[in-house]
Amino acid sequence: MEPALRPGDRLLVLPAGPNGLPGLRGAPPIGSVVIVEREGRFDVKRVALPPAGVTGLWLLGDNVALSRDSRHDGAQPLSTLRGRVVYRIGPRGRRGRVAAAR
Amino acid sequence: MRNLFAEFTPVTVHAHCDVPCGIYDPSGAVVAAKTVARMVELIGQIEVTDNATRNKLVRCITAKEEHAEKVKHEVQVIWSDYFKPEHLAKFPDLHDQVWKLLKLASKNKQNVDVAAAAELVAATEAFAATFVASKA
Repeated sequence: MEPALRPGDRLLVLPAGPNGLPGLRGAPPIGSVVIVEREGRFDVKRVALPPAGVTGLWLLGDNVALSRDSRHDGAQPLSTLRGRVVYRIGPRGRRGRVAAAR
Repeated sequence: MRNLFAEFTPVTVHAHCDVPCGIYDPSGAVVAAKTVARMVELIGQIEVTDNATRNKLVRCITAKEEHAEKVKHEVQVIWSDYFKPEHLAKFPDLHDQVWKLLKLASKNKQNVDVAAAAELVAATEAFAATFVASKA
């Protein structure tokens, strides 16, 4: 997810998805950074526009060259969505909002 | 307040796959290709006069075939796992380049051919150059 996120960043995540906060229960907006749970592991990716005919969350890493994402394993169901990343708490120098892309 | 902070238990999230990915290096393929070329050179120099020289010849042939196979494996891993559709847009002849390189490696595995070995080294170095350029 570089350069938006780097290893060691501490993130504030709002609970989203079917069991999330009332305003965040639907599909997250395109461009937002989200957490999905897959096989007990939490992954952070950015929501992209799915290819035509595809439903679900189409997730891409910002580091296109190295990321392993929906290009390899397809769309993820909305039920896997656990949260939306809104703020980078630390490290100190990197504090700030995690913006949705475009 | 303390209870509030206790609610925020940090968990680790991942941006990449389970194994440390993105660690690809074509230098193994280049070294293997150079080994093939060196073995072809040695095979041409060995004159079999006794068991010792026969043993040496067989060892060189074995090493040549093993390293030709290694070229194929190393290149295939980078080709299938590292290169993405975005790279292909930038290097449209990638598939052709890899296909020819793999065939060349097979040719070197089967034969003892100085020219083919030199071609294999050049092709593997060209593939390594494509890899480096894709990271730029």
